[in-house]
Amino acid sequence: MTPADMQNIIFGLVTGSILAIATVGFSMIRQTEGFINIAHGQLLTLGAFLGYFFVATLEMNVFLAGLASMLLVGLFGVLLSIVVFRPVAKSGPLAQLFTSIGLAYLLFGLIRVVFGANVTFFPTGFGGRLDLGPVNVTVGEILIIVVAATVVGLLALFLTQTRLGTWIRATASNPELARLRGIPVNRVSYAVWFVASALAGLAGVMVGLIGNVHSELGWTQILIILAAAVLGGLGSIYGVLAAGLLLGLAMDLSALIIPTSYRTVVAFGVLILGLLLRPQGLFAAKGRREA
Amino acid sequence: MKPGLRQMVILAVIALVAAACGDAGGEADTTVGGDTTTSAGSEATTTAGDGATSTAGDGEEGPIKFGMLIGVTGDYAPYYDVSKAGADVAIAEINDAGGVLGRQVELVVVDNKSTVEGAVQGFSQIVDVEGVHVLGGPESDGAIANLQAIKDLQLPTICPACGTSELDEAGGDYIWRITGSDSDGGLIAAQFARDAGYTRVAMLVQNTEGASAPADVFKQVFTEIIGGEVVADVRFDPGQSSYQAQVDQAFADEPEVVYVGSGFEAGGIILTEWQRRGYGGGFLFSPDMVVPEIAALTEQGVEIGDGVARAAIAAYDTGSPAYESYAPRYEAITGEQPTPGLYDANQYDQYIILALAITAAGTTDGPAVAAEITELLNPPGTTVYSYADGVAAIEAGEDIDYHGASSSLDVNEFGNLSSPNFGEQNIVDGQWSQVATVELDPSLRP
Amino acid sequence: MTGVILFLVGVVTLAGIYAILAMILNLEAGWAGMWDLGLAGLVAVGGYVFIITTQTTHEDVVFAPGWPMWAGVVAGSLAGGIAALIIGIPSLRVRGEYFLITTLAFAEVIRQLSINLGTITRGTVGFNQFSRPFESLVSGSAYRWFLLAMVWVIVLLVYLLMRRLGHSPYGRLLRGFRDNDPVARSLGKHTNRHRIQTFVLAGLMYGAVAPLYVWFIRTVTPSLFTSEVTFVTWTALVIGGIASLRGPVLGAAILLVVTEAAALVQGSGEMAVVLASVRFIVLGLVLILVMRFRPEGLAKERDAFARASRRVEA
Repeated sequence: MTPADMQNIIFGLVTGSILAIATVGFSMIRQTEGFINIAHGQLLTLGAFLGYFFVATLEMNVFLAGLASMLLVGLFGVLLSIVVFRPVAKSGPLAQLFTSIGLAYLLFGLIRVVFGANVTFFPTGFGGRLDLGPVNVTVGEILIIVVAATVVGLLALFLTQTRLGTWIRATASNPELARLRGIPVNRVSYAVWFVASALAGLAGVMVGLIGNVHSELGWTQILIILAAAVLGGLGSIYGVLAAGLLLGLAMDLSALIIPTSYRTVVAFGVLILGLLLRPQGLFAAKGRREA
Repeated sequence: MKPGLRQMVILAVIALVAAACGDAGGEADTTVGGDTTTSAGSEATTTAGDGATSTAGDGEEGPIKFGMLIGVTGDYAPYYDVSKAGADVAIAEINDAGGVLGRQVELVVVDNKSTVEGAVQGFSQIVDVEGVHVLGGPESDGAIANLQAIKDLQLPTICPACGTSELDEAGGDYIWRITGSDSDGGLIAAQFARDAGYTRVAMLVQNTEGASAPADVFKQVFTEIIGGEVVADVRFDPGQSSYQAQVDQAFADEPEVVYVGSGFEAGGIILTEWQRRGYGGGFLFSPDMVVPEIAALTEQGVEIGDGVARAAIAAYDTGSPAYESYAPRYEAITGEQPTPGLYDANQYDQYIILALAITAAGTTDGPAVAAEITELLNPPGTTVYSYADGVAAIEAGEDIDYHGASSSLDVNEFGNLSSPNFGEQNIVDGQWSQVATVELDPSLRP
Repeated sequence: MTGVILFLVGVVTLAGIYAILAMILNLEAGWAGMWDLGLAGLVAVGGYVFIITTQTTHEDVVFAPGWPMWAGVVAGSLAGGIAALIIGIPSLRVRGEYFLITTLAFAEVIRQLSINLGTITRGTVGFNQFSRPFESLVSGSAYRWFLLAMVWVIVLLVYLLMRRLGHSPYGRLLRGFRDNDPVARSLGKHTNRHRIQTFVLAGLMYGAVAPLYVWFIRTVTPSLFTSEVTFVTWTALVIGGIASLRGPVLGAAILLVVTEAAALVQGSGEMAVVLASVRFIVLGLVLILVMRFRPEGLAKERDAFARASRRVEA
């Protein structure tokens, strides 16, 4: 393995960590609420702009800003679920999907009215560069990976060790059965929307930190999120995490063998290949029911 | 068949409602001429009995309409305010001098949404609904999308900021380009690299036409004519959150300098990543990078100031009387100096040119106006630096040669500038500023 | 007024093109239950194959056979069908969201390829100088009326074809499969084969009508075939009434005329940036409200097909 390979693995890890955080939330909604939420991408945009506002205008510490964005976007997600999605829950997944597309346009327009259409950069440094033998990494990148790993760890603890978490998992694997067994469906739904949206907010801040903050961010990210979610099999959270990481690595490692202008093609190529080999998703534990 | 008929009826109703709304909107916007414009325009078209002539065969009353088809929203939105300011200076100057052919001039702005589909629909709106007599403002893709229609309609059009190589040999009859082309941009960047003595260059280029066309010229000239080596040619898609792998690839073989051909959106990310990893070296930037957003990065610790990053962009002719008269008027509107790279002076020049052409032709008839443009931009003739001077000279029966605020504006047979001005730009104190003027070395033309 | 009408000729032409796309989408998504989010990709394949095989003015491409227009249309149509076959075989084995996302991914791949394969597609520049059918016979300004007529004649033809298909045993079978009808299954029909057939048919049709879009825009570049085409078509279909007969045409006409004519109302104000954002807000709100209060859209499936009446569901 050459140094360039290893360096690209680091880049891929950073890309993949952020992608995994963004996709987990998307996937949770898909599992418990039963539809594809295209507006998830716009929640990333919102998180990025809020984070930027906290850091640049209110001069908050970047960690505090990230936390505050998570909280706000999470609450906003709960609000959206009550106002926008609950009324169409009975109309089936297609109606929900198109409600989410409508919501994505609505949020996109609102974000542009409020924050404008300009491109901005976080005024946050990324710390020094650390040389680790043949490769190097910056403090900021380590922090992103550490934060992502911590959040995933906490999420796993929450889902397995708390009652609410157990309910969520039960609802995810079989909503009908969960309802029959008396699991409080509303509370589960609020919790899922909060966690999923908060994760979107966090991912948005991270995307903004390593890249830039602009209103189109949500549209470009949702494509990759969709790819990662399908690759992960839409089902298990760990599958989605693994898929996010894999896709991140694939995109950055592909730079070594094929021209980088094909980076997006690679992401979707991996997806199509994955579907060919394992139609139910690479990491799905068992065959899933047809939608 | 019945349902089909019903749809047609519904459609017709919608069309009528929309048309009514449209008329209301039109009147509200017509600040100068009032509603006489609308009726005068439509009568003329009805008499002519042919839609296409709505641009040429207008009534003799009401204002002459100068169109501005431009990206008010979308990717080009950041350029809109300054472009409009430049155009406003010109319109005010023309009207202050008594208008054109004794009629006031009205600027009609239509948004092309910075997209191809938007440009096509916007073109129809500005030509059919607004009935403009001449057109300015379009960016490369908008101009290309409507190129055929401009020629079909014989609509005199000036492109103030199109770089596209598609116009290198397509203009001169109804469309002119009054800025340096992308091809020249690539050429001048190669000249920079030669003059600085670079022999090993890497390239980081965005996969869009405006970026890849000059990059290809740069590569061709630098390798084939100058004899340098391109150690890495990395192309990427815009719109990603990170370009780490691409940046790493560009710097892998330790080039002396990296040519960055990119919009500032991706370019900004690339530069922060470059700083983060401390790759060192220097940059040659394409003109699209010469925007305040990039310069502002120096205040966030990205060390590209003081000549680390250099760019050659079309420069304004700051010594010209036209510029000296234009600059304070522009500053009065915007509070800023005219900025090369934002093309505000080109926006100004285009409407002065169009107004002079109509004056010289003595009519708003498309072919007659177009026939004057190349002539009044080139010698021989009395050199004039303002609209009023030009009108005076024309009325005295002289040929004129208009020198503008952006350059002397001499054009070749294809309506392209024959010797565009370039200036070297560096970032000084968080702002782009011109540190030298550069003359394009003709021996480098491929 | 004359000017406004000329502008509206363009708008109604574009609406007609989207009406055709929405009717084809209705066949695959409304009746056969295949949620295709990649139709822009199939249109792109048709459009590019047509222009590459027929154009003669751009000489800097490696392949420019300069075929006659009809041959180009046939080639574009076939290419659309073949592309549909290639995507359909892997992704139609699993239904619903997998198909949806694979098609979305495919459309993006096609767009990227059209950018990167510059030697045959002219990259991001694309094609901008080419002739259109009967251009020598119809003079410049009348051509817009000609194009309008041509588009709406095709709208009518496609509509009649769809009405025929929808009432045929084939159409009933598709809707049966979509609704997971045990009767349709018990007949021993191969669900998957019918789905692939339908998707390929849709691909052939997308490919065949793509030249209309090309003639209207008069330029072919990758930026024309973004997912926005897909989303606008879907929105038109959903507003009009998915799985109905008239819905696609109605939805496309209303959506396009309203959003494009909005450009007239806004005029040229300094508020354009905000107004452009408001356009998205209105589009989003309309979609949300239609889904909430009239999820079947303006025209209903059960009115179109008296027998089967089903909720909007996959």
